[in-house]
Amino acid sequence: MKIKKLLMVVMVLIASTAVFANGAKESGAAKVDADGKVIIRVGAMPYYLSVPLQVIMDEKLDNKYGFKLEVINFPSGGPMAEALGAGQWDIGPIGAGGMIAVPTYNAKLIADVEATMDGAWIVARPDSDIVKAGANIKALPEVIGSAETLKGKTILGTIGNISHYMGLDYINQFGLGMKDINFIHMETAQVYTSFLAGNGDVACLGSPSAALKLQKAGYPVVGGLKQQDISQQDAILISDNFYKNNYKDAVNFMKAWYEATDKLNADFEYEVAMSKKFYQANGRTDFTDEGVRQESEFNTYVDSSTAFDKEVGAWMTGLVAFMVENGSMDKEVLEAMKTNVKLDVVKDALK
Amino acid sequence: MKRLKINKFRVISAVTLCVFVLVWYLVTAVFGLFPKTMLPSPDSVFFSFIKKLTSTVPDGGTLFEHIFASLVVALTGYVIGVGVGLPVGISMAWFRPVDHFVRPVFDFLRTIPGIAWIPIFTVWLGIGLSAKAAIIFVGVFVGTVVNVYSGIKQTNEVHIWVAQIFGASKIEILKRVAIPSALPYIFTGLRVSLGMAWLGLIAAELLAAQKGLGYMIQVARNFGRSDLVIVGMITIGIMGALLTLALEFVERRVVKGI
Repeated sequence: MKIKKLLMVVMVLIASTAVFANGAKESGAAKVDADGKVIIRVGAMPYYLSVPLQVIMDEKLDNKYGFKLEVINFPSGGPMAEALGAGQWDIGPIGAGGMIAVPTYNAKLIADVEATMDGAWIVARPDSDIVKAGANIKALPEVIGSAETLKGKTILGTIGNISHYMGLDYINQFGLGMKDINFIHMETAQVYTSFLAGNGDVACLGSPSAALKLQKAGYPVVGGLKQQDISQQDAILISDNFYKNNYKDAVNFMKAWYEATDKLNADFEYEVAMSKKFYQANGRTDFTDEGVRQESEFNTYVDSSTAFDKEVGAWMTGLVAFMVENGSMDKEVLEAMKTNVKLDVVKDALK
Repeated sequence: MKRLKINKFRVISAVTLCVFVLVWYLVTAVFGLFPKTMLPSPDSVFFSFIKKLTSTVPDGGTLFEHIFASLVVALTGYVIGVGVGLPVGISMAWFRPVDHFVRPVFDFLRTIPGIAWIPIFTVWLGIGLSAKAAIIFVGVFVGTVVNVYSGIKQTNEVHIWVAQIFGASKIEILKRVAIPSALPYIFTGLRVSLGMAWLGLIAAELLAAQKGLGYMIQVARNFGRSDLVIVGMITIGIMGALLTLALEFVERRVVKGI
């Protein structure tokens, strides 16, 4: 009798969990709007990598290629990657967060976003011995510091994003590893405020606006993407579900995307205007006209003519390999990353 | 007979735990109601738990290193919070002028969650142990003061009159009557505050950390490792339960009539 009651309880619990789990599993083809057009939920961040979406909206390229664009905004790559795992968006450009989304959530990396990129820096305190040590690496004359001055120092950064990668590479340049320094994890905004408040010796910042503010405040750059010759390359990811069930729509999205990047690369002033419009529309208040112009100068999009100039996904795969090497990720992750780089969508889009 | 009853309740508690794990296993491993990345099965969490005892991936520390780091932070904040909260709670309850003086500020501060203090503590105390302990201190202090205050206020007036008739001073009545009779409340406060300390741990290690269970959970989240997130959560639960047991042991020794 008691066992029967217990079984009843177990079944009721499973049934109620099943109701709860209903929303957790995302499967099947994407929804369509009243006109019968597929709604593509595009994950985005209010940064340079997502500006082509503004062009798609302005030029009504979604209409042209037979889909409806629905932009879902995220503050950074971490939450964006998590949301992909939860089935909250179908396709979109992402930065270092992609190294989590691809191997963990089985997302597909289908294209790179930028051909060249800058905008992440490492800064130190002007009076520190790190700065006084000057440039000590012949091949990288803009990288400042030395093994002696960096050993035991406190580095502020965000684990799992570009600042983590950049910081690790920076200390590796001097033959040091994570055990030789104190890498303190905190969110980007806290890195900025903590460093300004006098905490830490070095700050790694993936956000151009925060890093530029620190530079303006007199904190010298001791490393960075360009300085360390490790330029970041954001990538376009597509959820496993959308790839399997809406392949043609993914191809159409990429057609619109490349038309947008062609336009942006062809006209510098247009690129600046679109960037500002996109940032404003997405609530950013930290950018300046000069900052956007600088950003557009040192960044270039991969467009229809350069889509296969570089090995697609090489940067992201290299990032995962680097994380595995540094003991931040398990070896199996690298294999999952490699198998999820798919070139077919872009090939079909550019036919 | 009493022993048999206690054993029966223990069996019920064990069955509840087993049912919970069974349902978890059925909805994940058997029926696959949740994707692995959203809710891993209990067996995979168990294997991650075992692996984490020696593995430093992805956060640079083994589980024991994280437990030790968290214990240092949590207990530092807890000891200071209790150390300050006890006399403040007693003074507020026993001396009316102190109550009037402290209460407005206390009522204002008690509503502010620990996490809201992060930006301020970063500027005031830096990013070391002191800032993290301060975040835990806030929660522990509030929990201790509230319970100690209530305990002292509930002192039986008859006992106070008797002490007064025998010529005891206000301080003597506090030491010999009020505090001993408030001990059950005080220990309840200590237990509640202990829970607050572990609750505050995640917020504290959000501030800046290199080791600790809260840090481990955050890094696991950043790397999409929900199995390690659950390992961290379970470890926090186990540590909290063990410390509560230790406190209950002390309570049984100190408080008469339990």
